[in-house]
Amino acid sequence: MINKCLIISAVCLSITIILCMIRAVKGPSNLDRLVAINVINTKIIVLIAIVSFVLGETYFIDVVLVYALISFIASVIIADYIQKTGGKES
Amino acid sequence: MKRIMKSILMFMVFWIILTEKINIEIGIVGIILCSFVYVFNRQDLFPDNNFFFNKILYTLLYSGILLKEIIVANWDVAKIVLSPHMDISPQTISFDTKLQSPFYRMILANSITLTPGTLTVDLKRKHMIVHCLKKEYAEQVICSKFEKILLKIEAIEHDQ
Amino acid sequence: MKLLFITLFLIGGVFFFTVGTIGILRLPDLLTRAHSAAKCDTLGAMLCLMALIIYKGFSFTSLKLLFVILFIWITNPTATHLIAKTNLMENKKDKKLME
Repeated sequence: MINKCLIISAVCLSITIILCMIRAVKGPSNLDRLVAINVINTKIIVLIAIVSFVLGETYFIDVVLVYALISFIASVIIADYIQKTGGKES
Repeated sequence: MKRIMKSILMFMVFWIILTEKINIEIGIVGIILCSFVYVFNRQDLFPDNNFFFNKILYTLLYSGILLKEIIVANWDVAKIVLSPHMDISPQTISFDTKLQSPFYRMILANSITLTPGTLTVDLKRKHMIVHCLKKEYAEQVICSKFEKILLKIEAIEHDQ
Repeated sequence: MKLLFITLFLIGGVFFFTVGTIGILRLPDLLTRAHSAAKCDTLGAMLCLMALIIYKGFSFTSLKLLFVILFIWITNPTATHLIAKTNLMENKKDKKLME
């Protein structure tokens, strides 16, 4: 029963990730895309945690910790890059 | 000496949570790694002497109020987003904080960003620029509960 | 009892994630979209991970999940703040170019 609840919520999360991708593809400026990617990262963190509980493998939680670190550093570096180059060209 | 012990103890707790086991080998490896981290980490983790251990009561009170504010603000913003015609009036305001130390200013700015509806855009010395989703939120930001509690904590620290 | 709490928390988390996504799609400009993104980051992630913590009970795994919540709550405002600041700088540059 609990497994079914977890699977249903995982599917719902995947659908919201696809909806977020619309904004990430279409967004007028690069910063809009960055906001959308940031949200997608948070969703993926939760998704990996849920999937690890569905499969019963708790070592995926380490993956979650590392993913949280990497996604934060990635968004900081991309924001810095846009600040330096302007982000209008390309 | 006390500071070194405290930092290494904190790193050790984190290490044990990561490894999920308590062994002699894991303990020895952890102590070596934690001392390496302490040597190579130049910045002070605790700006004042003991933040978490002395004022644990105020920390708990602050996190409780933060949680309550986040839930209320989330509900408000969800109602705005789901209503068919979004009545938003975005505006940026700027004001000065009374807080002295940079650490508490950082906590204030992060709390303001964490509550939906308000967003810290810039923080220079005392000057803060805050973007609000609606006009009503602007008055709440200027005389917020967070700042009062942080001012109290700072006053206690000043007395010591 | 446990099942009820887990289901409630999961439904709350997924609801806030969905509302955040709708906000990102509907709201008109960048800073207001960032408001909507903050909603996903705070309550959505917290409620979902809380459900998992209740499911697991008191163990090392739930401590790790608590660390993940703490980490998200510290780092995500920082990233949002950087994005907003970058937007402000770009606007200033544009104004200078116009003059």
